[in-house]
Amino acid sequence: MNFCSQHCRTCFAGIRICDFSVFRRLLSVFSFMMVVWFMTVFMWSMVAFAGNGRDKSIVPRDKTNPLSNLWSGYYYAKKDIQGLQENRQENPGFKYITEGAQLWEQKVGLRNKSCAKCHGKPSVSMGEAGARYPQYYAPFKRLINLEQRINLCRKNYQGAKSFEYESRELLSLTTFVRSQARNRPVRVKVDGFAKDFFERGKAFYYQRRGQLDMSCANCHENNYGKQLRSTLLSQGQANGFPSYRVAWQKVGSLHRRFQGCNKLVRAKPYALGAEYYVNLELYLNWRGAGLEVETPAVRD
Amino acid sequence: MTNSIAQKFNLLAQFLRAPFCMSLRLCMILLITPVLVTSIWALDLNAAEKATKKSEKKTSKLVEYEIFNLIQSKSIPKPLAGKKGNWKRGEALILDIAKGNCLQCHRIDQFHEKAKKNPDVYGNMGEIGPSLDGVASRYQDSQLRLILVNAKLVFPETIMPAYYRIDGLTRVDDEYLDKPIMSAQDIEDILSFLMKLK
Ligand code: HEC
Ligand code: HEC
Repeated sequence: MNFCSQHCRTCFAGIRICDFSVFRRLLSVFSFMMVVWFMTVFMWSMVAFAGNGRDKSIVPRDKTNPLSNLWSGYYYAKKDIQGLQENRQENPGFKYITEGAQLWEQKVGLRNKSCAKCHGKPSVSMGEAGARYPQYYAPFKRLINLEQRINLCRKNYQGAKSFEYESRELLSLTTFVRSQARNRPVRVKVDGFAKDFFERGKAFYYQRRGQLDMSCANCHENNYGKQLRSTLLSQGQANGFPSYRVAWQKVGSLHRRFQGCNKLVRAKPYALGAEYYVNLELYLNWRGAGLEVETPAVRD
Repeated sequence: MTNSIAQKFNLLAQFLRAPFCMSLRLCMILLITPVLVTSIWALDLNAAEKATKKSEKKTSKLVEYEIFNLIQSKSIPKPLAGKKGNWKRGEALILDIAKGNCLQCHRIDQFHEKAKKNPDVYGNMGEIGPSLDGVASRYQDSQLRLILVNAKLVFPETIMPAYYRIDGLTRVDDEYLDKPIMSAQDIEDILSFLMKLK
């Protein structure tokens, strides 16, 4: 586009007016970008240099949270377990991330598409998603969690078979996706369509069950920080999942942990991925909203 | 001449406006999103829904027992199995992870000596319930029997499991369905051990 054919008199460099205006426009856009950029850098450096906040508690933003302080399971883990978690070379969960990253790039299914094809850079597209699930899914009229979201993408967009819950592939992909949100606060939506399911998850949490007749709250709300024989009870937070458990010798999903806690009280566990567990997952994430995602965490 | 300058300015103004708005909008969005997100967090939720309380009934599967309900204390005066307990067996049951597993929550200080030699069996005592030292001076055997049978009749909201109860439970695993955690004899055995904790 040519706006003028004269030289601009105010411009000593002798560029034409239109060039000058383009220059000025770019400059102003640039300065705005600079402001934004500086703010981002400042915020990130706050996060980066604040050190590892995982062994400190945070105050829940939602005043209806029954916990007055939130502690990650990290806080209750032994020092060597904590060290293992923070060490990228030694944390066995990072092997799953590597595998997940490969699956992310792999073209599969009838449509021969990879996850990357639709979602691009995982740190950008998955950075929030990892911290946001479970989420209401309108076609099903219920919540779905990250595992189920991944399987839906496989079925609907890749034309591939869904992975079995707790299979190596699904664990790897889930760990990979959620780890993109590592160090970001858990934030789930519990109002609107999700509200009903949230309430159900809460009812599940406070329901006593099993031969020992205990609710989640009995251990994780009323007695955290106390010794249950040789185990220190934590708040039973979900922020580290999928996480590597020494007792399992592998990475496991949150639902596997739910089954474990159900069995502890001699209750009949539900199937992995069951709606009860997905609702509970939402409720649990709300209880821990604000805690950093630690995937893949390491626990006893 | 003046006309053409005005035209130029018009064009310039148009040219500047659009991209300016874009960058402004971008900045506004970037600035506003955190505010929006935090306001979602602040939304209030309904108050906690109380877990439903279940009614208490005795069933024919367990041996019959009678609960005495005095003003200050509830108790089961008669031994459940009709037989006296064996404290040695009781001690083993207290330690047994599959049976009493009392140490999961309780401390018994007289085990500290033994714990030095045998930490896996006697050590790592829990902190959830009160210490069991001196329970025999705090309670009568009839009261302790009820606490073992169904602690919820004495401490309504307690975490302590009811060891001799099969009804009013939710989703018990098939393996344990319709079975109390311990038998009537087990209860008496543990009781006779507890009575030694003066
Ligand atoms: C008998 C006591 C008991 C009950 C009841 C119980 N848990 Fe747990 N839970 C544990 C123990 C012990 C651990 C392992 C140590 C820890 O992290 O607290 C654990 C761990 C967890 C963890 C992992 C925490 C982490 O940071 O890795 C979650 C999540 C959890 N429980 C959720 C639940 C839920 C949900 C329920 C109810 C369905 C429940 N628990 C009921 C004893 C219990
Ligand atoms: C899951 C935890 C748990 C287990 C297992 C448990 N208890 Fe308890 N127990 C408690 C708690 C908590 C209390 C305190 C009552 C309350 O909730 O206020 C208690 C109270 C008691 C009391 C009354 C003590 C006092 O000083 O008031 C006795 C006696 C007792 N338990 C005996 C036992 C015996 C014997 C066993 C094993 C057969 C056992 N408990 C297993 C948690 C437990």
